[in-house]
Amino acid sequence: MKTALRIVLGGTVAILAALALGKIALDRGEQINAMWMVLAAFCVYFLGYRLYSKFIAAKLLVLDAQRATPAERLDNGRDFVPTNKWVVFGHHFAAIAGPGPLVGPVLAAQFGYLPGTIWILLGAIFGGCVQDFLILLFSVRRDGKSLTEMAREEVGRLGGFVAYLAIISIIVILLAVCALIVVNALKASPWGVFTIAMTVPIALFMGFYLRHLRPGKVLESSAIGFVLVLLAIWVGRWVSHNPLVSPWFSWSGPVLAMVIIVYGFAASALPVWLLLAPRDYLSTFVKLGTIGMLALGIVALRPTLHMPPLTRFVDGSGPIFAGKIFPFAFITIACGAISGFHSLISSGTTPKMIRREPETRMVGYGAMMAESMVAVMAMIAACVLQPGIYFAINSPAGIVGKAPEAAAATVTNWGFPVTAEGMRTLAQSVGEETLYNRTGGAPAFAVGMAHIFSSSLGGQTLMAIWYHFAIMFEALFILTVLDAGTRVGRFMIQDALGHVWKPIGRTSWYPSILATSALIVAAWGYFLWQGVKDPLGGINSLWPLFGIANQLLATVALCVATTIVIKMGKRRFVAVTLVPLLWLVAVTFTASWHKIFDANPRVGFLAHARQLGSSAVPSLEVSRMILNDRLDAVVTGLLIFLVTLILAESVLLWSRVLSGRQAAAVKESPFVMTRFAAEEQG
Amino acid sequence: MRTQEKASSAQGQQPRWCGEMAGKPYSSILAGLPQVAAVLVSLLKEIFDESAYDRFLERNQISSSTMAYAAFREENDQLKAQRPKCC
Repeated sequence: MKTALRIVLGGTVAILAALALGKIALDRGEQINAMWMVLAAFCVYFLGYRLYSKFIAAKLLVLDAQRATPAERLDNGRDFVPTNKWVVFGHHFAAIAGPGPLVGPVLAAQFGYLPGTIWILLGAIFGGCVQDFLILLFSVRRDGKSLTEMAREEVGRLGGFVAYLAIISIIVILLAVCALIVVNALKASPWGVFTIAMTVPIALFMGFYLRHLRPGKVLESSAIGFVLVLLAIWVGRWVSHNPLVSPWFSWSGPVLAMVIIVYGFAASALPVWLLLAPRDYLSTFVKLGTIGMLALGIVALRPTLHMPPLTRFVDGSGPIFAGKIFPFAFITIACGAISGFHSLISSGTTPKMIRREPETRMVGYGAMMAESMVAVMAMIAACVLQPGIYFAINSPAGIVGKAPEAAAATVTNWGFPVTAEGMRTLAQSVGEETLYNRTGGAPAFAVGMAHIFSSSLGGQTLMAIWYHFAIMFEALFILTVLDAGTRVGRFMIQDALGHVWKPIGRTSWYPSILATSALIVAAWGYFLWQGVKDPLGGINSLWPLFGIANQLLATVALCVATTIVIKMGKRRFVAVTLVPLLWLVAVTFTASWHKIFDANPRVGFLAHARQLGSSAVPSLEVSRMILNDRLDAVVTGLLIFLVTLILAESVLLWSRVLSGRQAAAVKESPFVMTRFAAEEQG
Repeated sequence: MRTQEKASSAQGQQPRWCGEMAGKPYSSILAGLPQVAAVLVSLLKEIFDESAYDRFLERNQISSSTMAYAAFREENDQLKAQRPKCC
């Protein structure tokens, strides 16, 4: 009876999934409701979880409920702690959910809502969820080892080295692109800058409250901090309208970039925990609340998508970033579909909290599904905007021009009507002077989110408040990614250089802290500066570079996973990791080739450098841009070279193991019986 | 055999609840709500390091104070500083 019910339920969901996917894919000439997208997502996730992840768990991984996890065996009450699976699920989700799944889909919406949505759903089910699940389980079976350690032990020393370099590279590019998003969202926005500036005294107050008034009451202090931030947003309106105060907080892109670079260095090198830790809590509090509110808002409003399923820009002529739908749609959306960065979390804190091995399925596979749903919501937030408004906000001045009338005319000529007057009214309604040339995705997402929120609560009168709430939310948690990433990068550099000269490796030695902090900040700061000064808005070159780096890290993770699968003697099921791996190799290698060698100057770095060299009057500025193009090409080439190395090493190893020339031995921790099973039976 | 879930803290035992509500009378589902709330509170306490602070106090056999929290922050921040935040 139960089986029959399951079959009926599964069949119904499959039919619903087909119906919803058919609706969003095949409808032409009419606007569809966002709920079709939500329904398609839920049905696909349901089927993916119930069928595919169950198959992987049972056949490939053979999850063992009797086997003690490192959280149980090495329980120390600090990092190794057996924890309830729902708590680990939420903790893991909070750790993997960053700005990526919000920004990537907004940028990819330039192709229309369809390509991005299909990639988010299928990429997650067959790629991202699988990667997160497998790396988590493999780390659990190896005492919570990191991806780099697993790569070194299972693939080889070269694999470990490549994984290390890939991680450092992705951190540098990630931080640069994150900082650029904040700069583009806050430049010439006194309201936004004021609100973010106010988070500093608010965080200091929270720190004081936590230390001296109510030690350890983080939730309480975060709730107070949240109320104060809302108050700051409210006061921000007055600041932006006051002609005396407003100029103090109206900063240009370069000034904001310098402030963020100094902030990054201070966060890494100075003991400013009283500021950073409370702000981190505040950011998490706002992040979780906002994602929940957005989900409720979409369900309550059931908005109509105004963006068509496919736009004319699938041919590669997109204004936001240049490049054809393949491969660029698949590197633009990384975190919502498959993100290499997740493998660092899956082999970091989470494996040390897993109580029972079978729980890795829900935590690894399930949390990535939740992240993918966030990406679907971001896609909806972008596509509820009129396409003309979406393109006017996201297109750089280098493409549409600086004058409002010219920009509106250019966007209208693309077939997406928008007027300068309409844009002015929209900017006024969100409390900004202008919304043109706000590349980076964050402002477009904020306008979409404000539209959804204000339609559900508060109407047009609260539109400006919701917009600045969204900007504050994005900027706040991007800045916490920035300070945390800078510190992690600093530790990694100290660790590596410590092998060359021991004192550098001492994490408490101040000259080392200052030098390595300067090194990591200079690395991402250079790319940030390059993006800020770029007439095409920076996102055109930096976001694809970030996408390539992130997907290449996923390639490394899937190489490690495939190697372990083969060594486990599960070659029959190797397609589970090999197919997404081959897909990622095809995507990243093609994208890298285009970014380096494409003859179109808007796509290829070298073609752009050649164009600058031949057409412009020689100047210091032009020389700098040519140098930047060449540097971007070298970085892309270097990343591809490194991943080729780990691929080659992996393929050689697979061939030796499969032909029987090398013993298929995995390096797992020895089996120990869990005590939890006995406790449950007792 | 299903895994028994711990709801109120990492160490405490709770009756099973998850996934077993389907098909139960409405009142049983309502009766499960406090447990759902308990898991949510545990989740928030874990994410916001309140559980970690409780474990710190328990491990060191001390009670909460300004000094204890300062010591906890020092230990906890060392751990956190080496964890990347995802993109």
